[in-house]
Amino acid sequence: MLATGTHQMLDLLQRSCEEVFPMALGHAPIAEGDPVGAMEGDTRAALITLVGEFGRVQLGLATSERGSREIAGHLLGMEADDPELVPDNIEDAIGELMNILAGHVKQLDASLLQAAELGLPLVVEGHIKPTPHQELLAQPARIDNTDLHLVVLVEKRPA
Amino acid sequence: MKILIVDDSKAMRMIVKRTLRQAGFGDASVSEAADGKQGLEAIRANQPDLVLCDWNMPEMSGMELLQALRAEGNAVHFGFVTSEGTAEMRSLASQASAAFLIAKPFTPETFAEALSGVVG
Repeated sequence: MLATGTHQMLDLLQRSCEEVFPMALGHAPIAEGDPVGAMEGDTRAALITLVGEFGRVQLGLATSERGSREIAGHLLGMEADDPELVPDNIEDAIGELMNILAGHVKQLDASLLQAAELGLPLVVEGHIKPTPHQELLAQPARIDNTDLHLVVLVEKRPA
Repeated sequence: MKILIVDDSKAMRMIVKRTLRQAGFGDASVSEAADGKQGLEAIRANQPDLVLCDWNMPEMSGMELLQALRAEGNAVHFGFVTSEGTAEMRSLASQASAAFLIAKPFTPETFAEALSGVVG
């Protein structure tokens, strides 16, 4: 049975963050409240798609412009205001972090490991909204002083 | 020792360089290439002792790079550093004569262990 339900995927993404963040960023994520079914306002987000016979699932990490700079700084071992953290490097870093998280999601679930292909990470800015054929679930969280959301967008299954 | 990092992500190349230093390879001369094609040219020109290479890249993948090297008789030590480490990928890497496959996320200890068996 593939673990591709919205809550199951969010749980896997949270577990991936809990294991990857301390190693990659030097800080553990802290969940802030309950998952939400919609995102408010604009964000900068790294998204990656898992695709297989089960359909398509998008996993994401959404934060502010400042938050993406802080996360990139943690990943690259730099201060958030380091002049080398130009926009291209920040996008590259949070995209790579999403790639690592999604790869680890596959490692955490044997059925996904076999059935899911990983796409390339994409960094977008704006309001994350599901299409009419998707369901969104997002977990508000914090890492160090940075607020972020762990996001999953799952294709709805026909009734 | 000369080490070439081949990865299309500049961020990941920076992370690998930092991890090499933390793993005790701070004295190594480290150079970079942004895809397999650039990597092949850099290997031919500079003859590194070790290549650390991503799996999925534009232009030429890591596996295509390794196969191209072996086809021209180049036996440089070669290891993959990649976001997925399935049994199938490890088997493919081994069959193609890669010395190791390091799955992300990794630690300096992971690097030290993998590299010590090859260039220690």
